[in-house]
Amino acid sequence: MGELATNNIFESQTIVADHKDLIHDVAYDFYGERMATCSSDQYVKVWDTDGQGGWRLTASWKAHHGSVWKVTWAHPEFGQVLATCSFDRTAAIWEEVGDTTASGSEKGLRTWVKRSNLVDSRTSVTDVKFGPKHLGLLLVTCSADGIIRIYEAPDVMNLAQWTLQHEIPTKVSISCLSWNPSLSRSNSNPPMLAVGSDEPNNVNATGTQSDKVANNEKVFIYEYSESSRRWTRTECLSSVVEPVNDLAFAPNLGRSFHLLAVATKDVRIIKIEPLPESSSATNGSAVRFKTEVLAAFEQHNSCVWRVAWNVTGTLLASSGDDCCVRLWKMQYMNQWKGVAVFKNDAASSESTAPARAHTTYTRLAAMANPAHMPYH
Amino acid sequence: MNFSSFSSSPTVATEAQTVKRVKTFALPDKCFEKRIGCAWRRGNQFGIYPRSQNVNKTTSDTASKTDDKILNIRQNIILFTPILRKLVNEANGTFLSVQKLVETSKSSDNQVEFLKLSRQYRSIIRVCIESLQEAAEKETDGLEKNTLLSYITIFYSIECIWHLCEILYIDIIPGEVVLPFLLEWVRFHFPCHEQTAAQLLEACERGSEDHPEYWDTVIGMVVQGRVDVARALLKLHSTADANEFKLVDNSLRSMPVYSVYGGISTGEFTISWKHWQAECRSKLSSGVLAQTPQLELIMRLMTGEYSAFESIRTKYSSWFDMLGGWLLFTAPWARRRELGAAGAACAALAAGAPASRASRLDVAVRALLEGDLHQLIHEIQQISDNGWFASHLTDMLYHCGKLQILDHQTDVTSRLRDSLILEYGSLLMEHKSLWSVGLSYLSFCQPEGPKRAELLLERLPIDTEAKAMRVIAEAKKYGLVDVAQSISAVMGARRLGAGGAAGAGGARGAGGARGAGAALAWGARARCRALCARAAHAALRAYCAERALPAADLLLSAGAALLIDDTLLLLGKYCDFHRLYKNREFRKAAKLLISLITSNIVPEYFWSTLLLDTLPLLETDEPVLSADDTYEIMLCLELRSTCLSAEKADLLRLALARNLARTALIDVDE
Repeated sequence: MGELATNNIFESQTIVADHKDLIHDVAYDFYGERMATCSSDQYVKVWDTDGQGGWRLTASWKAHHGSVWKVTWAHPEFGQVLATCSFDRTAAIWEEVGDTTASGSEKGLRTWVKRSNLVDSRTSVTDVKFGPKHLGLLLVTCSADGIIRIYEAPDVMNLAQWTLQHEIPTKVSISCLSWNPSLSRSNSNPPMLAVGSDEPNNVNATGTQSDKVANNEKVFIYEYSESSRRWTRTECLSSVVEPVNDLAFAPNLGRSFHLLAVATKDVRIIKIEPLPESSSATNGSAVRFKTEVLAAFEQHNSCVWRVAWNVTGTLLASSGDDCCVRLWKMQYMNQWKGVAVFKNDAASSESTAPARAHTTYTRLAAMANPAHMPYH
Repeated sequence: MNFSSFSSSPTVATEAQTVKRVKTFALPDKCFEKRIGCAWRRGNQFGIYPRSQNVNKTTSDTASKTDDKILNIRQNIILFTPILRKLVNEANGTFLSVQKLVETSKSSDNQVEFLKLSRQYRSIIRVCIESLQEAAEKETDGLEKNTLLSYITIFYSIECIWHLCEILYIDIIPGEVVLPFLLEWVRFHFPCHEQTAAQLLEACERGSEDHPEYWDTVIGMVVQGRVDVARALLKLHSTADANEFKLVDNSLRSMPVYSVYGGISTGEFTISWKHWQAECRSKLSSGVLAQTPQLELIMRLMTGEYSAFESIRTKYSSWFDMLGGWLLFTAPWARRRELGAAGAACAALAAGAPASRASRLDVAVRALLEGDLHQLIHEIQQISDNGWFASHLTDMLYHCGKLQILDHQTDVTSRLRDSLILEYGSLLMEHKSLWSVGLSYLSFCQPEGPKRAELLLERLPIDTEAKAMRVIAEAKKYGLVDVAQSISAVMGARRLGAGGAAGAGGARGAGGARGAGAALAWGARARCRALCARAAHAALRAYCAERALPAADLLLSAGAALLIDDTLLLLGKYCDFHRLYKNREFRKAAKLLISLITSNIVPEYFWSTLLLDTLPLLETDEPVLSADDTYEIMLCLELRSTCLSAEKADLLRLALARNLARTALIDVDE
């Protein structure tokens, strides 16, 4: 009968980004048809699919006077808009201009214009994210000195005008943030942000555990209250006490709870369930959520740098210091399991032909003996 | 994506198994030696990039040129190969029929209908295999050919398992006695020796034993339960008249065959059958056949002797060949649910054979025979058909009511079925033309399906207006109104942007009238206030610049839709004004213009146009603007004198004064 189970064939395609320095972030647009990269060389590059599966560089410009940490796309309803944040203490809004339908030699050239420079931060701006589109055109930034800033463009036709709506001091260095993409605007699901801190734990603090625990918490949930018109911290996740490098909310899919993936010393998936108003009222103002660590994967054996959900939130990719990208999937019984590992193949190194910019996909070989993978 | 989606049973899955299941893939090039990052693209595609997290350094001297490669990883989905498109589409049709059948007749017994649909699925697979075979024959490229051949293997196995599954779970079997069906399955899928037998019978020569495969063929026929053929073949032996041959022939002939309609009960049949086998055994022990080992072997097989089956195992590529024979000569009365032991016995035969690592097909068939559907579904999920088989078969079994999967005493059958359908549907959503098929699968998994569809549909890359309309139509069909609106809004924004949004100071949307017109149409479709406002502004600005109103026909027929936004209302009314003016209905036109001027919804940049539009109306032969109207215009002009150049303002003042002079005494009839 032969072997049927040649399952999970993956293919890869190499793109030479040609940044002069380390790449810090890669972001795909809403449709996955465009890709933006940013780097320590202070440049931002935009790549477009060419329709035949390849990628073509369509724009490259010096965006900041320091390393560009993150790049992110706005919802296409607001046009072709990017936001970047940098070590140079600013965040910037970029818009693509020019006729995108132009033909001929003009086609390859796109211009991105800086529409706004957000200069409120006094320290390096570590992350930037557009808010969910149903809230309007919102942007949140966070900086190394621990201040979260929420900006709004009151007129979506005028990207030059951004008003600083809220400034939330957190007192710890913030490395990453994520909007809750939940679509409902009901009372139980007000606008929500999760922020993660990469502040190293104070060594002295570990001595007296009981009263210092609070200082070691690294993930905070902020919620916007329509009545008080303020963002308030409604939850600290006590389960995460190691520096956090990345976090991401999963798409909600109509669940009654939220899923937050956290990249810390391991990959964590945390369930955050809003408690009904009545029960939180009886406890006073204290408890808003029931949180539960659904999974803590230590397979990376090292620091985890990034976590990313697929569109439907059914697969989580994580990357760590072990140079592996791992995929995690929720099984039908709601347990999470590792389903694939992508690893640098030490054996076949340097043997491949020099990569071109538009290589086609090549099939990834499964490792000869997966059992040899370090597993603990 | 079709990863191994659940473990066989949570309690048994050991750590070691988990490790084994997680496949490791080697990335090409030596590009990721340091830290790496990952980002999801869409569906099953994501990017891997080298990454530094160090916030405290601006530039790094250590970064080498190998550090800037980005890898796009995607899963290879065989269902997206053009040749398999038909399979996907036709299976979708059958899937929808199954859902419809379930919906229309909840209570009644639909076994017959389900059986028909199951056969329909199988015929779809068979057609698919045929077209694959055709393509493989034509293919000259070795690598491609191999791929096609491996597809054939995959779908052949699928059909084989589905057929068995149909026999054991879907088919209607009188008295549940499964043997004839099982024999048919074996003959159909493992047609070994059939050709030789046919050749020999056709030649019909005595002394056929000279044929090198004569005995193998005879035994093969016996094992497949084709007693008549075996007897006919035996007659062709040169010494067929010998006693031994007569003996065997007699035994074969007298073998009792069970039939529900035969008028005897299973019990009676069992007794007569056992009696027959005892007779065979006694003949065997009498040693009559010792001279002819082949005949002795046949007799031993007939008595269900395990060692006899063992001795012929090596002649067959799999143990499935023996399954029918084994059952025939050990337990012909077995019911569908009593096949576990036979399966185990035959599979044990396989263990003795060389290179017999249990293949997935083995495990799947074993699981089926044992009635362990959970294990079966687990196995078929590993087949690399991207979940086509697992989702359709599970759905079928689920609706037939044959699937019962328990996890810690809770029934999780529907969850399993839903998760498979969801996966399959989501997978298809990634394809540029199969997405609508995917959508139909998702719609049958409430409540998560529509939610997923919402996320995925909104993200379908849209390159043309026609595609946008199609996606919107599909979205509406499934009640995903938000998606329809969102797509319209994006299309509108895109048209506005494409109109040439280059403007200093960030002012956008000052583009051409055509872009604005299209954007207006999308805005109206999306019922999106912000977009309508933007488009209306763009249109008004375009009019100021180029003197052409976009989408006039749309605006004139828009009706209540104009009320979405003030600027849109202004634009619509202004269009109407133009229509009236063109039709020389000056009185009405003048009234409308005055109402616009006094309405307070006119944006600053439009005042000059609006005020200058009064000029011809002031200069008409018959006065059409009353004295009061003239005062209103005068007031506006003086309040906004900066909008107009001094020269134009003076011209307008003069016209106003003259009109006032004509109307001061004899006013215009209201």
